[in-house]
Amino acid sequence: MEPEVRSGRPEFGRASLAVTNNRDVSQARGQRSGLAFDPRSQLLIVLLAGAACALVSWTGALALTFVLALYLAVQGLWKAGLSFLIGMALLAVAYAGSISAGVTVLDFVAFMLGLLLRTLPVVMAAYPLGFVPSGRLIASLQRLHLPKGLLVALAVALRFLPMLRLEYESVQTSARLRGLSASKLKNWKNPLKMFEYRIVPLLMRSLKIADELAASASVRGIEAPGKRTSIYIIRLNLQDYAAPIFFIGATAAWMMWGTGG
Amino acid sequence: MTNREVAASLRDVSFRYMESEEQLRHIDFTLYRGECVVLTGPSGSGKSTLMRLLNGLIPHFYEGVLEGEVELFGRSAASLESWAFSQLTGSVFQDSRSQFFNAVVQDEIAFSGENTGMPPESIRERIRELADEGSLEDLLAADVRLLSGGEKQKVAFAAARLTMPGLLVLDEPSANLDLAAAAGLSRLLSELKQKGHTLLLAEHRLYELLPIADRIVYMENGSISSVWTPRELLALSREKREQLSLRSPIFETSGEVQSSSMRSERERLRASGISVKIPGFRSRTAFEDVSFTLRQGEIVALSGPNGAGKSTLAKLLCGLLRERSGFVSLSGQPLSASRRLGRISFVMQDSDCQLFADSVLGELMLTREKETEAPARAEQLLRELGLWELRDRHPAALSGGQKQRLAFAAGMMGQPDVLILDEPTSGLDGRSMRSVVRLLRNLAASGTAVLVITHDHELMLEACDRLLLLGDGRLRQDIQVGSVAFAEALIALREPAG
Repeated sequence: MEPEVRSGRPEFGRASLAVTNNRDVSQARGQRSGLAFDPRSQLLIVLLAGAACALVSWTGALALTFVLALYLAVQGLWKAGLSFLIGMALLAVAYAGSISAGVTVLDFVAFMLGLLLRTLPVVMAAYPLGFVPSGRLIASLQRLHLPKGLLVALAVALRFLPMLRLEYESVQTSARLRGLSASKLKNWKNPLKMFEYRIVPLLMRSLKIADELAASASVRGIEAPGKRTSIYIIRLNLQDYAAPIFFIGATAAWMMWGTGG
Repeated sequence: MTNREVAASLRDVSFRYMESEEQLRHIDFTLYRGECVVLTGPSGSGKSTLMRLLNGLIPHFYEGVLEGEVELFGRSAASLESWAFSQLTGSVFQDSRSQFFNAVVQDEIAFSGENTGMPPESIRERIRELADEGSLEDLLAADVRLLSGGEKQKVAFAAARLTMPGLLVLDEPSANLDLAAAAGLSRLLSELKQKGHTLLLAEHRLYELLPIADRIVYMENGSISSVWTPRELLALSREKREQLSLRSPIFETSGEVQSSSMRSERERLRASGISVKIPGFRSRTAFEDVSFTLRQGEIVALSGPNGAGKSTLAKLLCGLLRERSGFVSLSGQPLSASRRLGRISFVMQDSDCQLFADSVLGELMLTREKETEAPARAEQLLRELGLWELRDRHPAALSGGQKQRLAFAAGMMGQPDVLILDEPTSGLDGRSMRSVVRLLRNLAASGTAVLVITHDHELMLEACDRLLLLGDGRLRQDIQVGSVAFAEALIALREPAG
């Protein structure tokens, strides 16, 4: 923690003091408590989870889910961890059922389920990154000496995607009002048109929003040369080393002694 | 007036965009330090272009041909890099949705400082000061999307002021605000002016700004054609104002009420004891036990603070949401949500999201290819709205006002019993606002019942018969426009919330 910020200085706003130190937004607002990780270490876990899922069998992927559920739980995301666990368990049952049935028709289903079994743990590992404020994420990734252009592009994408979702909802609403609803069967007589009616308005809105966002960034000096600073204090703590090491250890242990090998 | 320090000056400045028609012609304009100047005039007259010269968007972001001298705090703007402007000019834009770059309030406020490499400790110090001034302490860790319109505006101001720029340029900051938030904005501007900030605004809604403004600059076709003091503006006759496409410079709460001549007692829509829950993850009751009727040929305003459930009510009436209790009937016949869908038209705020076809005419013919009388109706509607000449254009190639009229026309093609409009006049100049008024009157005269969601008291006074006021999860008032209760309700809407 950062005593020099905490002591003697005027309050920076009760919540945000914590945010600048080492917490993400929902932790700072007191909505959840738990360990905070540096985004770099969180990103490493995502990469490790991806590699592990490619290496181990599906039973291994299932076992990894428990490790990742623990990882979510220590960050105060135990509810999400539990949901992922249940989801994985259901998937595993369906997968085991479909491969043991021995019916050729189910082969494709089994293949898809197997794929899902190996992707869900990666999604799970990436889940905590969704709570990191973009300022902190960028500041942390800057330490990896990634080019600034890439970081800014990442920041824009992070900002743009949720906005795109809202815009899409708005297009959907208005399509329903105009009788272009996707749930009406007769509208699918011309699927290409249906596609066009969703994409064209969305494209028009996106262009406008992208333009305005870029203008807003430009007047606030995004193009300034030199190093960006950050209000977030970026440092690696014990947990940031411990989590990846524990994860690698657990994967290696499963591969050596695990049943499904 | 002597020896005043100049903040910014334009000498014989002309500008032409590469892609758009809008331009500036031979502008001479001086902005003094500590002054508050309001730019006004019809849409497309060059107000935004002039401001873009002062925050560096021209020439760094928008390309075009620039002639003449622009100076900012004694420095030639031509010599400034785009980031250097961020130290001199703070900018606030109209649409807070697309000006926020970060998801968290404090990140947003810190953004310009971080970009330009300000030391973290100074940025934190500044955020502390700004949060203190704007009472934003409790919002610093909040998600910007969850803020109210007024709060977003405060955050946008704090973000613009982080680097302590001497000049603030504000492009229609009140266009999307409700009455209370617009009044709050004017208090904020007044505090900034007292602190010595130089303020340049573009705005159509003038009444909140007159106590603060030193000069009102009227632009037309890319030139400055008049400069008034607030007193001089107030002295303009109503005819003159309408001729100049200006909106009312005072907060009128009563006026000549022209109730629609075609009104009859025939009921078009009745809502009876309806309540609704907002669907989704955090479902909550939006409102309960709302009852009212819309009669044939009537224009009714629906207002209330932001977040009072106006849009939710509109969606429910259209059949996009289901009522939990109560019922909605059309012309005396109770109809379920799915049966209502398509019977009531809803013209939403963003025209871009509502236009689907590849031509103006095609937009009206969409899903009606088989109706025999549809082409004739489409032609009549387009002619009435002045869009017939543009019938082969792509909707995306239209101006904002034309898009809005096309969305109207598309909503009218189904000959709905009831038409609902969401904020049809936000950000419109006087002339466009009055043409919306005429349009609504014509619709009502043809027998449609019109429900308008609006904060615009001028629109209420000039077009509406009644005002429905939502708040605290219920229908608080159902009053005649022009009555004493109406005036009281407007005044109450302008009071700070909470």
